[in-house]
Amino acid sequence: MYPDKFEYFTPDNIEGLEELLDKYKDDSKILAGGHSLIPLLKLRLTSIPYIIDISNIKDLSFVDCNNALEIGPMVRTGEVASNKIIGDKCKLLADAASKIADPQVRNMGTVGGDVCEADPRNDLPAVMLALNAEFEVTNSKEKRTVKAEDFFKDAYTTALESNDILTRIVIKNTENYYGKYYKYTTLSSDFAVFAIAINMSLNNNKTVKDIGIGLTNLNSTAVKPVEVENYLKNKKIDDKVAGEAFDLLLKSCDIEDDINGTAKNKEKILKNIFINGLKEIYEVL
Amino acid sequence: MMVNIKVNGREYKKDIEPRMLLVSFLRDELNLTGTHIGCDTSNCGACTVLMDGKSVKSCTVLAAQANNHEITTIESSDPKLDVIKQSFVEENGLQCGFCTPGMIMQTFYILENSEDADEEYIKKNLRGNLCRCTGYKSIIDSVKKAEERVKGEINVSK
Repeated sequence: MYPDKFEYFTPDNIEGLEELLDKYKDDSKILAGGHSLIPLLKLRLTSIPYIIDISNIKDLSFVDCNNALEIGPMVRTGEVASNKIIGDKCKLLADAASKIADPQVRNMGTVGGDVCEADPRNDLPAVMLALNAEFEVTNSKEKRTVKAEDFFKDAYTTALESNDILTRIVIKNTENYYGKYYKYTTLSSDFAVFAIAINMSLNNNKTVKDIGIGLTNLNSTAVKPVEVENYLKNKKIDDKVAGEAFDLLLKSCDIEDDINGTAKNKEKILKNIFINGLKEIYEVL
Repeated sequence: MMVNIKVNGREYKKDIEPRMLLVSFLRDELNLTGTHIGCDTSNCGACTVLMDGKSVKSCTVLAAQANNHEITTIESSDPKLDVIKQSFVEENGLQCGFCTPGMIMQTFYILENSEDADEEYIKKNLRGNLCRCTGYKSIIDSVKKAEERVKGEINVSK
C-alpha cells in the first residue's frame, strides 16, 4: 500500500518548523513517529500534501527533572517506559508507556504523537489527565501553556491550531505520588477496550491527599472525571467509598454495546478494574 | 529526494519518492527480499528490521525516515544472527516460514537488549509478531536455545 504523493521536509530546528507550518497551514501535518499517521496515509483515509518530519529537531527530545518532570514530545514511548528518571519520578507514565502496543511500535511511536493524535483509544491522553500535566505550546508568534484538561476537545481534536507545536510536557505531580495504568484489551488488539489511569498521594492520616484519574476509550475523547477526584479527596479508601466513586465515574462514561461486548458486561469489568485498582494503589502508598 | 541509508554495513544512495516505505525500499530498490510484507498494517511484524539497533516495523516507516540511519535486516552477516537462525532450524521454529524473518529480527533485538530473558519476557517482547501457523511454542523454544548459545559463547570468549 502506498500513500498519496506528498512533499517531505525535515527541519532541524523549531524556527524552521514554524516557518513551514506558517507557510503550508492546514495542508501540512507534523510527522513524529508516524505510527498513527502513516497507517492513515497508506489506507488513503487521509491525504496530506506537505509532511514535516520533526525527528531531526534535537530540542524536542529530552527528559529533565528539576522541580518538575519535563519531557520532550519526540521521546519514543519505548524510551519513556525504560527511562530511569521517568521510572523514578512517575510510575504511572512509565507503566502506561510499557503497555502501549508492542515493542516495535514503541520504538517508533512518540509521547507527543500519542498525545496530539488524540485518538480516543490512545493511552497517554488519559495518563496526562490523571497527572494534571501541562503542555508548552509554541508557534511563530507566541508560547503558551495549556493544561491537559483543556487540551483534549474531542476524538482526534485538541486545542492545537494548525501552526502550533507541542514543545514540552511538564508533570508536577511526582513527589510522593504513586500510580498505575489499568488497561483492558482483547487478545487480538493492543488498543484498549478501555483503560483507567490513577495517580494518588496520601496524607499522614492515610486519607487521600490528591488523586488524578483519566479514562481511555470510555467517551469520544480521554476524560478526567473531576467529580470522582473531588469525592475521593480526604477519604480513606474502602469497598464502600470505592463503590460510590464508581457510581460517580459512570456519569463520565458513554459505554455502548460493540464488538468487544455488551455495555452491561463492560460496565461490570470496568467496575472490578476500577475498585481493585484504587485499593491496590492505596495499599502500596 | 535523495536518501543515504546504511543497510547491513553498506551505504546506499538512492533517489526515491518520499512516500516510499522502508520495506519497499529494501525489497524493490535493494533486492533484499528477505524482509517480508505480511499484513501491511503494522500488526504482524513480518517486516521487522532494526533501525539503529531498535526493532521497527518497516511497513510503517518511510524510507525517508531512515535517511542517514543504519538498518539491519535478515540478510545481515552478524554472527549472532547465524546462531539465532540455527536455533530456529533445530527447534523447528518455523512452519510455513513467512513470519520467520520478523521473528528472527525481533529475537535478535531481544537478545541484544536483555541479559537473561525468561519465557515471560520473551513472550512479552514477541507480542508484535504473529505466526499464522500458530507455532508459538517452538518459536519460544528457539529463542531460548539461541539465548543459551549466545550466552555460552560470551562465557567461552571471557
